[in-house]
Amino acid sequence: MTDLTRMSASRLHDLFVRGEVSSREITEAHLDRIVSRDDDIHAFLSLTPERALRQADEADLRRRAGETMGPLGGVPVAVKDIIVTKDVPTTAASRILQGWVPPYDATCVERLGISGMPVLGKTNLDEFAMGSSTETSAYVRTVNPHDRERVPGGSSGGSAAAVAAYEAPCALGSETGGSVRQPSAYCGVVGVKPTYGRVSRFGLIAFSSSMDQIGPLARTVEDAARLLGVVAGADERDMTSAHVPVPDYAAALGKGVRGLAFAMPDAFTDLAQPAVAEATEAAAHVLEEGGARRVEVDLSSVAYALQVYYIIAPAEASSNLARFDGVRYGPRRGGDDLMDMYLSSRGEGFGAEVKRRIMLGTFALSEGYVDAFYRRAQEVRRRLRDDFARAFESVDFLLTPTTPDLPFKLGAHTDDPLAMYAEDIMTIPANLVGVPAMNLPAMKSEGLPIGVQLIGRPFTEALLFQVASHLEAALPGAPLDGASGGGIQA
Amino acid sequence: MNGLIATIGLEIHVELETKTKMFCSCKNEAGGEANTHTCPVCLGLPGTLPRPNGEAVRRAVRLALALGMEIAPLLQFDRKNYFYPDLPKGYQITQKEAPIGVGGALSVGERSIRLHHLHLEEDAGKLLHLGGRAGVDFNRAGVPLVEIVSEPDLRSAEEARAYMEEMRRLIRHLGISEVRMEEGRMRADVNVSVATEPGVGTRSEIKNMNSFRAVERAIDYEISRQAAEIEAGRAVLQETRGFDDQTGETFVQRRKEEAEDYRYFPEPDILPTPLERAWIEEEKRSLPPTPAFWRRRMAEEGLKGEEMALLLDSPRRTGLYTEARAQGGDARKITNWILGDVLRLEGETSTPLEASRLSSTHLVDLVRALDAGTITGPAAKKVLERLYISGESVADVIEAEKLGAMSDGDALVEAVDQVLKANPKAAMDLRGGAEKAVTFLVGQLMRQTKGRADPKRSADLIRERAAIWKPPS
Repeated sequence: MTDLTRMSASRLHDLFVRGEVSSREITEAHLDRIVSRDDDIHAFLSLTPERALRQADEADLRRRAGETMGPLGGVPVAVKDIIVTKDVPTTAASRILQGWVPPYDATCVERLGISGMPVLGKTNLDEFAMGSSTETSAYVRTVNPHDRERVPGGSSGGSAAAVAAYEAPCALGSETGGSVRQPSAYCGVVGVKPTYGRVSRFGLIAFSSSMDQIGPLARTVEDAARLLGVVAGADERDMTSAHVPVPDYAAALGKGVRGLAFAMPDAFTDLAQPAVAEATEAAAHVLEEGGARRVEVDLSSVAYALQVYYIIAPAEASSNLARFDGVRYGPRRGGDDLMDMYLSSRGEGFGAEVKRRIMLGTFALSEGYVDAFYRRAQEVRRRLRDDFARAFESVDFLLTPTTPDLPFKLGAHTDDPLAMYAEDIMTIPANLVGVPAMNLPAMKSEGLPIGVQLIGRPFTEALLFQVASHLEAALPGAPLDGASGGGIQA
Repeated sequence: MNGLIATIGLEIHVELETKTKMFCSCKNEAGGEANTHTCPVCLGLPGTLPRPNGEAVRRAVRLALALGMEIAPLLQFDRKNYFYPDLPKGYQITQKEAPIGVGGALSVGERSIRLHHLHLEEDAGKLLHLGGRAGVDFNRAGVPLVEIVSEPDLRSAEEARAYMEEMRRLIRHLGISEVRMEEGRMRADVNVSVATEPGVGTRSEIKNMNSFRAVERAIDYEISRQAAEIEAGRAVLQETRGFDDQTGETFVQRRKEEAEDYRYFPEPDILPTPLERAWIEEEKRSLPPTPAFWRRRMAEEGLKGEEMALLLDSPRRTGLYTEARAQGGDARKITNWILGDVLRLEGETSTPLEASRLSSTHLVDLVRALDAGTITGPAAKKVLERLYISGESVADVIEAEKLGAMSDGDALVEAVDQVLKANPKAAMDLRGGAEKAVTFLVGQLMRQTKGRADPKRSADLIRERAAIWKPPS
């Protein structure tokens, strides 16, 4: 029989619906693949085989009963370990949550269940999603499946590596400043940061509430489109989720790009290394060939995005992470008195990067500094949002590199936090502004994947998928074992 | 206090008695086993998000409107960051930048106390001390709370207490909360300064008192303490103080230089929501009459200050009074019944007025029956006792208990004769001209008739019958 782990999620779903393969078979194939491969990759923090197989059997029963499930029913999925799963340990890759077993499921996890998608396990990440290499995880170091001496990117490095290494057909990650797109670029997979409010944040352990967003990772545009369709939509438990109808994303695929206008702002391309710039030019060429019109826009305020982000995100994080105090869950340490308990529990529970950001954020919100830092940053953020809105008056989408450079070596930025922060320079603007953006694997250079980024107006994910599917068909892509573009073959 | 003036401001916290908590659907109920009214949201578990309770917002808006406040155009919240074991998220969701209501005033006696603002927030949990160990009960965590901040317009402990009591009356009349003090549903922080002119002294803040008496005592203590410092030529320090109920003294908790930085910022999990003007107007139109309104009317009807205060403390009492008045009941007599026997019955039967079956019609009928001489005073008390629980009509209770007054007729004569027969010595004494015996025999007759004998008629009848009475030979 053909190797089920090589097939796209959409293809697996179609076989499942036709009764040619059971969800149990698909799920078992992926669990086997994880067992044989993950000792090298370390994409997963924990596996949930019993739960996955129980859900697979349920999906098979439902199918036989004639029930229609979601657009990826029967197909297993991996979930980033910052998304809360009932009765399954959820750590955010932090020691401070060691042993915590949540009593509830995140809304997106509930929706996976309703859609008949078994959860294979929880994937590794940078501690509390703070990082761009998955190296700040308190537990394991995930490697890039394309080159095991390099990082998979982060913070959703586990999800990206699992999908790239065929350990999971698709996965959920989360973004605050590029945490889905950047590892997707580094691992050669499709990764989407939906519009802020598109996917419920209920059950996503908060990093920066005004930017956090859950998004899909997959090997094909169609898979990502289908998975977004499963988890998107308003949720009464998340007031910031939008009451905007969810279209059939997959229906937008293959419609070409004729008549669309796009721009490649210098503010992004100027920062790219030659190989990355070339890949972006190649993508632009494909779009123009397809009948899209390239125009100029001015987005020079993007130059301030990184600074603004590193004030607002840590400020919100310093507050969001205050609940980890050793009182209600996680290991409690010290205990001579209350202050000692707080200092020890938090001091030993959090890693260096998390502490750095808590300190940055605490400072930015402190009396006497809050106006110069936090409020000023919010003001610049509004300007940035206005500039994007103006740009989108003349274009339908932006095309940019996803990252300035190729995946870097493990440990390369560990002692240089600013270099690590600069990793997200291309992706952060979309989070600050709240617009949808995605990474599409364009090609490989020196055996390493290069991604391009599409950025759209709020709630135009369907258009981005439409453009991405056009590019996917024409560009080589960056699959692990060299299969050709758009063509994870059955 | 030679020439010294006290300047006092109050921050009153009141828990709104909504069905559910401020940001989740847990029951908002006092008491109960620890941590039984909790869920992932009010426990602040990772990944959870708040969802504002519309009814709490409505109640806060109504209170702000009743206080004459300006309502904010947008409902928005801020985070107040600090660490304490009873604070599950490490921050409290409150309103800092744009409180729901601004300005307004509350009249207390002859004075109008200006208000600074009213804001909505969530309560914290409660620390429990379990013999050497501490635990936290989160049942209270997330309970909706309004904080009403006054301007420093109060001048004495007594006035501060009166202000707080009037605020409680208003809140009760609006149906926002029953403000059960014993459950800690109302608490106050007090700012006090003393100086030769109002408002120029250094203030201290006394935190978290949950009774009127504590507020009054703490202010009195603090005024004398600060006055003594000034008279001794020492500086009063800006500090946060606590109040010890045992000693009646305040004590330093935190000095100014140790003041916490709460790092307020807009709550990103709750989107600012417009408070529609049309809706606010509608809420304003549907506000019930305030205690101040009723007080003006009651004063015209001849009630005294203390009586009005007692009637207005409970909306049900106010309702009984005003409804009885509308039915033609006499103001004085109705007031006496409510503040006398009804209050006594509430205590004796442990049945609060709200749970009783007593209506204004009962009171009006009772007063009419008394006026008409259909029943006696003692019998009326018995009627009230029964219908307080049963809700039967006055006439039905009189009939069922045979409590109709015996003012003449054979029944009363027979009863008198029985009393004489049972007390031959007293009867003979009376015949012998000992008038004292009449009082004794009337008492016996009342006992015999269970209070139904008309007292005026009884004495005459006893004399008549005693005169012709023959002792058994």
